[in-house]
Amino acid sequence: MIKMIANLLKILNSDADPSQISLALGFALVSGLLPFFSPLSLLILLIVFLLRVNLSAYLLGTAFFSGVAYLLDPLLHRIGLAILTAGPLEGLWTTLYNSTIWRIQRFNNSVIMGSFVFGILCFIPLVLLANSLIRRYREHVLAWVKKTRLMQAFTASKFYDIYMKASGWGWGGLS
Amino acid sequence: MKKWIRWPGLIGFVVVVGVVIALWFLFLDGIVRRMVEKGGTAIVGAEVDLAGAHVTLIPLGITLQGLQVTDPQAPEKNSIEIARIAFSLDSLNLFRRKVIINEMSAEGMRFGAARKRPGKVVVPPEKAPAAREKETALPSFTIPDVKMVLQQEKLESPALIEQAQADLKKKSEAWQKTVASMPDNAALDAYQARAQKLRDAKKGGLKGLKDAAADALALTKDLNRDLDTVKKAKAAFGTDLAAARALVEEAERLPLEDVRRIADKYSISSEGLQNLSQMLFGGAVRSWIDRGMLWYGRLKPMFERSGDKKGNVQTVKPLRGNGVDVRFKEDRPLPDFLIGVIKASLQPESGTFTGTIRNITPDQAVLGKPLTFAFTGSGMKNAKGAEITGTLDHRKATFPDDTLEIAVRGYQAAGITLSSAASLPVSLQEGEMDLEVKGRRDAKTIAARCVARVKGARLDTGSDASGGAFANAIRSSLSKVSAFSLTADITGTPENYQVRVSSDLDKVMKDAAGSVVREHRDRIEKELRKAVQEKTEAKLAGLRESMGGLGAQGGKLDGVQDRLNGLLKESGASGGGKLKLW
Repeated sequence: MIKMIANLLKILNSDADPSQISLALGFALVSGLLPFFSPLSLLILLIVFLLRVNLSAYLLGTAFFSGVAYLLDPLLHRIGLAILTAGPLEGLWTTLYNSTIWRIQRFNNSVIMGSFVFGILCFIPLVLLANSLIRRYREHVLAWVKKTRLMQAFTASKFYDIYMKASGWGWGGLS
Repeated sequence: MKKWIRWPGLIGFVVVVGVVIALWFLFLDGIVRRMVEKGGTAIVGAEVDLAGAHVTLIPLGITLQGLQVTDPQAPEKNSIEIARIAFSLDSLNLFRRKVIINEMSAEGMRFGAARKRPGKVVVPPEKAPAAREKETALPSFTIPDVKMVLQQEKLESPALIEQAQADLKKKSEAWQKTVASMPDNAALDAYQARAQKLRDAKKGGLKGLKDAAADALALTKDLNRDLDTVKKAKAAFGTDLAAARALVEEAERLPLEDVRRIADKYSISSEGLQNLSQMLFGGAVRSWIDRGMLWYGRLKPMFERSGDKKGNVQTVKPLRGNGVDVRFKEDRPLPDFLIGVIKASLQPESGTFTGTIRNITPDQAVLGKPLTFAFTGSGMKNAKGAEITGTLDHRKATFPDDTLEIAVRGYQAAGITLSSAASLPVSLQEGEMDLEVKGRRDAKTIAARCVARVKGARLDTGSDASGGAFANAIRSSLSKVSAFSLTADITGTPENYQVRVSSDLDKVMKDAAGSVVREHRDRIEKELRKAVQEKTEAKLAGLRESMGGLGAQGGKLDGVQDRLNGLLKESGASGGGKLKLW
């Protein structure tokens, strides 16, 4: 947990472009909500590797949103079931259902469909919100935080050692 | 755009995915083993162990070795053991998330084998309801101490008699109030005085006669009104009195019912004497059937899936996992899970016992075929021949139709427990048994008949003589039995079925133990009657007294009615005399 917080601070305090971090969090949301071993997760992983997004933020975000997914399961199931049983979409789903490629995605599962739709809908708002928050943090909070006595005491603590170690891992700052 | 693309990331992706796939292959056998153990345990409710699993990719197939399924009711045993299971999977359909196994072979099946260590029971087997335990409980055949019995058994009659007495008292008090509201002696005397005045007026000339006519009319009206009130009260009283009499009669019967109930528990009734086999063997037979039904329920997800259908769309609960899978109309419908055929063989030392199970799928409606099974045994060590056939037809989930037929010839029975009652255990030590079972189950009813014919039988009834004269008589009679038949009829609904056991042993046991049972019963009843009478006599006397009190209220009403009738007659005569003068 301490390492995770240290990582988060490291990412926020790094020179990485805020849009790279926020985009990574957006992809992490979709990945975290979907089952780990699904073709769609694999596709998102490919996009994350190919696009210049912050990998540390993506991994951290995926771990966080995977935990959130357990809490949201009942809601995601309802959303997915409503979409899959909507009369006007029946023709579309039936066509996809008869296609092997789509069946592999397991789109007809209520939780998977709910997670996917929820993730896609929240993707852009989350990216914009995270982007704005990171910028504000760096502009207004970071300088103030560094000056506080608490932060100064903190830099002398064991926590700060861990933070420094994480800084030295290299992969954490991959962007 | 170039700023956003990270081409080396592609290599990273390939490496990550490659490592994951390599690890997956490396641990695939272990993953399959754990999946079988976890899934099996969830279905059976008891520990399922697998010695090993091997997955081949080309062609895609799985071999499972050393499958052991713990018996939830006897965790030190396995309900089934299968040495080797092998099957190949339709890989193309697997991509469509359909597990299609065309043929599966199961070798080295054994039932009831001992485990090295007891297996864990995840879902404890359902306990028999109290009513069933009572149904199969064997009464004690020793003469119990009535004082002890009365300490243990709750008599229902004293409380019910007290209740009846309280009801009667309440009614009696209500009627006392009603009677008090009727015209009392003073009112009746006043009527009497008015009547006398009328008679006197007749002697007072013409003016007196004119006044008397009006008074006579008023008096008659008043008397009729009161008489109506009394008549209505009497009618209501008659109904209440009849109910009270019925209550007293019922209360007088209650002690006898207590005696009968307790005597039934501690001895055998005449009905029970006619069917001792039900009492002795009913419990064991019931437990065998309950066990079969338990397994039926546990395996049901394998041939019936629950789900809701709306038009062309059906939601089904996946066998495992979260959410629901929504199904749409398929161009070429196939079940999500299907084992076309399982070819099974029992352990070689049991002889040749082979069979096939066809169409195992929770989606019978999609496949359009029911699950069928057929096993044949020949040249076996313990039986001359055996055939088991059956169909589990759940193509229409609301109208399931299951049939089962078992025929076993010349089975060398040994050590079969027929009654585990502590006071009279009965087991079939040896004998040659022919067994026939025919059963049918649909959504609402279950009907089955199981007939076992045994010859060359040797029955063991234990050596404990504490059961008393009855148990000894039964023991003696059963020890002489060399052939018998036992029939179990199962009827009712799948949720609540009854098992009736009958046997030609009934006559043998009745002849041997009938006089002992009757004598025992008479003694118990006599002692119980005396003891119950002591406890209820005073209460019944009180009840009868209350009844007398209620009856007295009726007498009072009669008295008032008689006086009112007399006065009415008298006033009529006074008025009538006057009218005649006109």
